[in-house]
Amino acid sequence: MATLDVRHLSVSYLTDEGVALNAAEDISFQVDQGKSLGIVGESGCGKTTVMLALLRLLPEAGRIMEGQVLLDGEDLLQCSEAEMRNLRWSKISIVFQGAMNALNPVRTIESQIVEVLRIHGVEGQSQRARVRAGELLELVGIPPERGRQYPHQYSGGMRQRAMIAMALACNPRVLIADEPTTALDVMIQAQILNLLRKLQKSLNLALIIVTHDLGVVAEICDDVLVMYSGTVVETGSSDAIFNHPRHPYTERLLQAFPDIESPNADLVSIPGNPPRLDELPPGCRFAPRCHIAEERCHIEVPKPIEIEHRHWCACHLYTGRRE
Amino acid sequence: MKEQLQEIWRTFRRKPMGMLGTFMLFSVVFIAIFAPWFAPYDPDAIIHVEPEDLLAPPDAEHLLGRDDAGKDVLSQLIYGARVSLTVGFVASFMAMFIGTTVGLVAGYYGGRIGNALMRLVDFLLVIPDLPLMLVFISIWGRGLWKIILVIGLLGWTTTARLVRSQVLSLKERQFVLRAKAIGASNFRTIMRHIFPQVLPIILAETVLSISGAIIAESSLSFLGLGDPMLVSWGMMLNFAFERAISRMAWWFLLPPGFAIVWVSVGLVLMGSTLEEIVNPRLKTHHLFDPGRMLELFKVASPGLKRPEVTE
Amino acid sequence: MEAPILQVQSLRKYFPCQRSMADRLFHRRRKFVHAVDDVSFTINRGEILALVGESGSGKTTIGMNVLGLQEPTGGQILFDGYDVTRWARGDLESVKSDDVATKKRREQILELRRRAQIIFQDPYESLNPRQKVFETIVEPLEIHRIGRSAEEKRERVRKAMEESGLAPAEHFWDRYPDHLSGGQRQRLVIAAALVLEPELLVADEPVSMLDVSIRAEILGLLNELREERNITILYTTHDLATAGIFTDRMAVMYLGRIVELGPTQAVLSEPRHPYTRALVSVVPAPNPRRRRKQVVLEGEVPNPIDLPSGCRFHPRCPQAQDECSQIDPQLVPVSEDHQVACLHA
Repeated sequence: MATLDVRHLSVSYLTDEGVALNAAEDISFQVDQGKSLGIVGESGCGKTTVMLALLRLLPEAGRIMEGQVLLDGEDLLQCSEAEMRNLRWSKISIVFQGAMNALNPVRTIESQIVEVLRIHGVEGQSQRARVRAGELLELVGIPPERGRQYPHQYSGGMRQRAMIAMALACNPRVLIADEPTTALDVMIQAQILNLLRKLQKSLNLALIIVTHDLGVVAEICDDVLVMYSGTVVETGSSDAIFNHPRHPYTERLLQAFPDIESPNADLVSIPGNPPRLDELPPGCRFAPRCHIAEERCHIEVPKPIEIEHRHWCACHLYTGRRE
Repeated sequence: MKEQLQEIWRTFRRKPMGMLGTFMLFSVVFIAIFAPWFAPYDPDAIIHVEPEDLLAPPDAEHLLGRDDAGKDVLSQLIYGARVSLTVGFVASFMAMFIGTTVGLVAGYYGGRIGNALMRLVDFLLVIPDLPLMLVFISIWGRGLWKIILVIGLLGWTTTARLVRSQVLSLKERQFVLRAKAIGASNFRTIMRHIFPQVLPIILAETVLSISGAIIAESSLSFLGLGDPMLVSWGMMLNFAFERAISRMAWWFLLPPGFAIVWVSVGLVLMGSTLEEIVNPRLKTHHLFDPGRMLELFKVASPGLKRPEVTE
Repeated sequence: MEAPILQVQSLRKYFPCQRSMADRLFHRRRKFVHAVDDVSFTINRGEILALVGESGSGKTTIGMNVLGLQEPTGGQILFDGYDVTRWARGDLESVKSDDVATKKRREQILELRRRAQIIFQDPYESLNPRQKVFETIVEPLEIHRIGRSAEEKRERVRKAMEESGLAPAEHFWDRYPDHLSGGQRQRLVIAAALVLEPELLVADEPVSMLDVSIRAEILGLLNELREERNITILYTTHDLATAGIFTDRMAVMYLGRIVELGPTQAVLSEPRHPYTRALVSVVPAPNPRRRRKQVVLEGEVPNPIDLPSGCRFHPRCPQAQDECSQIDPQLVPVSEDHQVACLHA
């Protein structure tokens, strides 16, 4: 059984006037223990919204319209807030986008980790908590003595490591990392990715990486889920997605990514912009920008079809094929 | 700029407190402008009074009774609005103008000029306003324009500080650097790039300061330093205190005070609503466009990409 | 062979560190951030040079100094023969005078501002939110008094917008920047730069804040500008892959120095400096099957205040030897146009 099984999740935001803007529609995916899933999409595609929905941390205007989020069989969406508070961090944990800038500047790193441990009742006594904090720092490659320092004394890469340590404090089963390397230099990015890979193996985590960077996904993700404008367009193993992409958007996205080893390849970009949430097209959301869109695409929303084993694609190219 | 004001108005319209304040203010402004139509009597007209008319209580013909000279209180109140409002608006615009200029110069240029100006501001801030105004009027003499000048020339300091602090952070912004990179002169940079960003805040601040100016004028008039030829609410209070209290003539005493409070509260409601709207920390502009609302929910971080905005 | 359009010689830019009370009391020497420390390079007309480096390498600072937006601490910058360093601050007001010599200097500054333009990284911050698209693009014309009539100005604006892909021009003219997407904003900035028909463009990480699918368009646009107008471009970035797509030469920077300089393809395919090799090896490749040997350096780029002795890179260099901590290597040619600053290249 998959550790995390998301089924037909839909999330909307309510505007001041009471209009529901659909930010994520019919999202389904699974993550097994010890595997990593990369959720890829450009800004505004709804990937962060989906992650917040998983943890029931949506802002006030957010509404989960339907779906199930099964963590080890238990539906998180049916839990009470008190139950969620228990589960968050201890079973499923997240490193937020830009979190490294959200560290409390007037408290030491160690004290912030200790606080997390105390809140979640992992370690009661402060001595044991400090020791555990030291262990966590070491786990992410920070010398434990540096726990006594303040965030401003840490570089960007180190702060990101500290955030990862905090997220792992309660030994979660699932770790979500939202844009873990985006603001970092390429060398630090490589270090953090190596770290995540190592942690995933040694702690047997179910890891979800949310990013716009295809290169990151190619480096450490076993499976890939491609999102566009709030919908899943394609999902499959990393190898399948990168080497046999089936959805026109995935193909174009791959072509737009510069490859240092093929510098003469023509970089393609996708003309136009993703649709506004209040102006969603009736059919496939990518149809207005798709180079092979047909009439059907503008009218009917394509449902995900399993093209090969564990390789799904939501495109009318494949609708009507039963394999 | 017009679009900016329209945007502000659209948000403002939805705030009940702000709209209430606007109503409160504009009702008085309207009455003041059309005073001859609203006031039952002409306060300047010479009338023939009997002794029992002096400080007569309200009746059908004089809704707010009569003052110590037998004149209709209501009419004086209505015409008095003109004086108080005029002084309030003009003095406050003057203060805004001076304060903005000082703030822009001190903030942008900094250095010795900036320091000198800020020391002047500090100096004026330290001295209590009212006593200073008293001193000036006593030396200079009474008169409408003198009051306006005194209030205006002493009231610019808050605006100056506010503008300066905004300018200090604005001038580090990248679009200001880009303006310099294309060759913009200092004057152009200030007027085209920095000033428009500060304008909304100045607007909010000005509305608030009008209320302060009206109160300042009322205070000066109350203390007997107002223009002797014009009746303002403060003057009415002055007469009332001197002559009406012993007779418990509340109809003469209360209305001007109430009017001052009414206008001030209206202005403060308007002003603080405006401030809420234009406060740069809140950055509420995205609320005007539902498609951009999602930015609220993304955690911003330096160097990170922002969401794409579609047309 | 005409002279290069830009010559940078031994450029230095140090930023003073703030001193604490204790520092002052004990008369400690003021420390400096060595943002740019003895950098030299030239760019020929119509060439695109990539300045590649991580944060703290000095690449953005070089761009600012080249345009005279910052005052260099030392060295010389020659733009088409004119000495930029002399009019460095670009502060027009400080040159107020009727004296012929200084008047010429003020005109020279304005000329530099017209012939050399900059595009910044952040398309949200580099535009005045209260200026409409048209106003932003026409402003440079107004400053430099180009265009004799309103009609002529409109035409120039339209042309610049069409060239940068913001067409039809009328469709965008009256809009404010916050109704444009990130890619459109960058095009707006480019149009505002193009309207003056510049000869040199400093593009400071112009696409790093844009979505991947938009980057290709903008980079393609820059390449087109070079092809059609022979504009020279100084392109700074931390992303080696984008630099590899359209630049002619590449300079790799580390802690304020150029460690390798040569034709882009040569540098990327056969890097000679250990730092370049490491960088190239960790650039993410969009293909999970490709398993390359990654050289992931330990630690972080040290702070540019207390520089390592000898070669700046030696504390992290996988091939460091004893002499590397003693001797500071200079840029030395290893082939016709490829230079490396390493004792063991």
